[in-house]
Amino acid sequence: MRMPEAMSTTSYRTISVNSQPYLYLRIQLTVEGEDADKITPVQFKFLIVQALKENMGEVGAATPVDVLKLLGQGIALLRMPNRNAERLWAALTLYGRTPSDKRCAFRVLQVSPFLMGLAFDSREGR
Amino acid sequence: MASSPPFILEISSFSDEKSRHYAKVMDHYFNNGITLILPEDTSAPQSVTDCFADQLSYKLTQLPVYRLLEAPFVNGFVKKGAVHLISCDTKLDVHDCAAVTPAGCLVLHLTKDTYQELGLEAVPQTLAQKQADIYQVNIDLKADHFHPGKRGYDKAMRCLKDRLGLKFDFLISWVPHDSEVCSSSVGVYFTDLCDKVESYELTKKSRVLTSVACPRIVAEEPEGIEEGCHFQKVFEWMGAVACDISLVSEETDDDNYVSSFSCPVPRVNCPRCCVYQVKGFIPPDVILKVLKALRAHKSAHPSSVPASLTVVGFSDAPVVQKNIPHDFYLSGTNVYSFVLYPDERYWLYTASVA
Amino acid sequence: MVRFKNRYALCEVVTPGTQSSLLEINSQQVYSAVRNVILDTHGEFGLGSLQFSLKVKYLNIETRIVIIRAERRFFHYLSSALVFVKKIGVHNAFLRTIHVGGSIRACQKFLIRFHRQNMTRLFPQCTTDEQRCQVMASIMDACEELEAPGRRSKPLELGKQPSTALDILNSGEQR
Repeated sequence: MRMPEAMSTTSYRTISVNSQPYLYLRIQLTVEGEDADKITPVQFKFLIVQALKENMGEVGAATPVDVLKLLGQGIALLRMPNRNAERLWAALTLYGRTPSDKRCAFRVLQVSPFLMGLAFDSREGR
Repeated sequence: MASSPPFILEISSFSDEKSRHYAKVMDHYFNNGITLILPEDTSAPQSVTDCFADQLSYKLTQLPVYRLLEAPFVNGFVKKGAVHLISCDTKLDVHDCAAVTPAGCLVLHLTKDTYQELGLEAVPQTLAQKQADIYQVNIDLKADHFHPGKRGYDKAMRCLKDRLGLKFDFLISWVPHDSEVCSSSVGVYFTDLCDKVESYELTKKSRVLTSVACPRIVAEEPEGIEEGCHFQKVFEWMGAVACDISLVSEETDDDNYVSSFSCPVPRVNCPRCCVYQVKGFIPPDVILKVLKALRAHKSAHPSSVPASLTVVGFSDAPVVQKNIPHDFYLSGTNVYSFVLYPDERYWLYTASVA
Repeated sequence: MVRFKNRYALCEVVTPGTQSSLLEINSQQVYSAVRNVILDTHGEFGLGSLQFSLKVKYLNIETRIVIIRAERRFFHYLSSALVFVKKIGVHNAFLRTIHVGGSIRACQKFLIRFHRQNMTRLFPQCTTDEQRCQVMASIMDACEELEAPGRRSKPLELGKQPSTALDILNSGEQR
């Protein structure tokens, strides 16, 4: 132990943070007439960028959105900056047509400012 | 946006008499899942997995709420143990929800329509509840004056039984004070009172990651000024491990189109890491046992990388800690997480959001 | 009653490689150029939030000044999009924002000051009397129009020009 015992017993400390840098989302993409399992991460990201570009323009499309993981059935974990997350979220839900003119929809299943919050979904299986 | 409670890190030691870990675990009533991250282990220790063995919880289908006020339930279970009961398949922001806390308080979290039909008095609304038109009714089941024949009891009974037949699907688990009594008797009690009682199983998952990049964590330096990572980044990394997001130990290229996520620096390479996840309805007592087992395991196998225990609560629970109402705005995340060091010290993250 | 708060962007139309006599743009063309560029940079959301208030309030081809109105709440969308204007009508042109004001009046005041400053710079560059007259006349015209739009119908006599503007012109001549 590097710290003497007397020190460690009195080393109670708290740090609190009010704002979080990112917002994490669990979203589901469904495309009409296509198997959701066959969507690759690159296609997924492309559609997200398309959605942002349509609704938020090039400035919106420049936001760094990360597709952290593709879970199957078109469900993915996203990370986006918290600052303008509400508008990006709106852009995703408003997106309705893929560039190949198929109807599609992004559904936001779960949102949390912590990635740990998405580890379990207590609303799933409904 | 509604103001969210802050993200708190507490640094303390289990041997400290002022340590708040016991209160933290016991006050967080409705737990939906736990994640254990054990670096340098290939499987979860037997002592930890044993904690879940005798855990029984039940799913009650379409149980009328007034059944919870009846004297046999109150006297037989609420006063003789810790009842954890929560309505499931109800969304906190749009539906009615109900819960019974171990302190013996029936909490009804109601929409305006239901509340006005019901006719029971609500506790003062919080700001968020006011904005969402949500009313919370608390009924203390353990109170001395709360028994048949008294006015308050009769009124509550009448409102819940005759005026409004509130029914929910519930999850219940009961931890009796008397260790001789089996916790399964609560399931037997409800068999005749509701449509269906089924055992609510825990789902356990265990996986071993090989060659993972771990952030270097220094217990005394959570802000990562010299060596070690910032505690927020460590928490994000823990989330990534829990969500099974691939973390390669080599430098990932920064120009990755799909994702720019990577392990925070400075990092260490961990040859193997066991991730053990349990999902279900877990009462706080079990988590306390797990924490104890983990502490024993950690001090028996000292290693450079600390282990972690994360507890995720139900996002639709009407109360999270004690009687503090839980507001659901964007999400109902309520998570706490221990990072355990070999020398009894720990970091405790508390992350909740409305 | 709620007042609609606006912001006015005062921009200079810069047309590299086009002679001023050949420049033919109208406010409709400026409007559609700005509108398209907002759609590109801020998408449907940006355009939707600005469309109600977006208007080209003033355009002067002689001085190449344009005033564009937008709602104050969303003005940052306009100001950031203006940078990306590349073409107005058929001409290659870009907009250089020189002032942002809360009312047209404030923009006018600024414009007069701006022109006065520029006049002193322009005047010594002139070589012939004819040029001097031209510069003076066009600048005075612009000032007059902005300062008193109602009096525009009255024909102006040379001797009755505002003394302050004349003083500046003279001082420029003496240099």
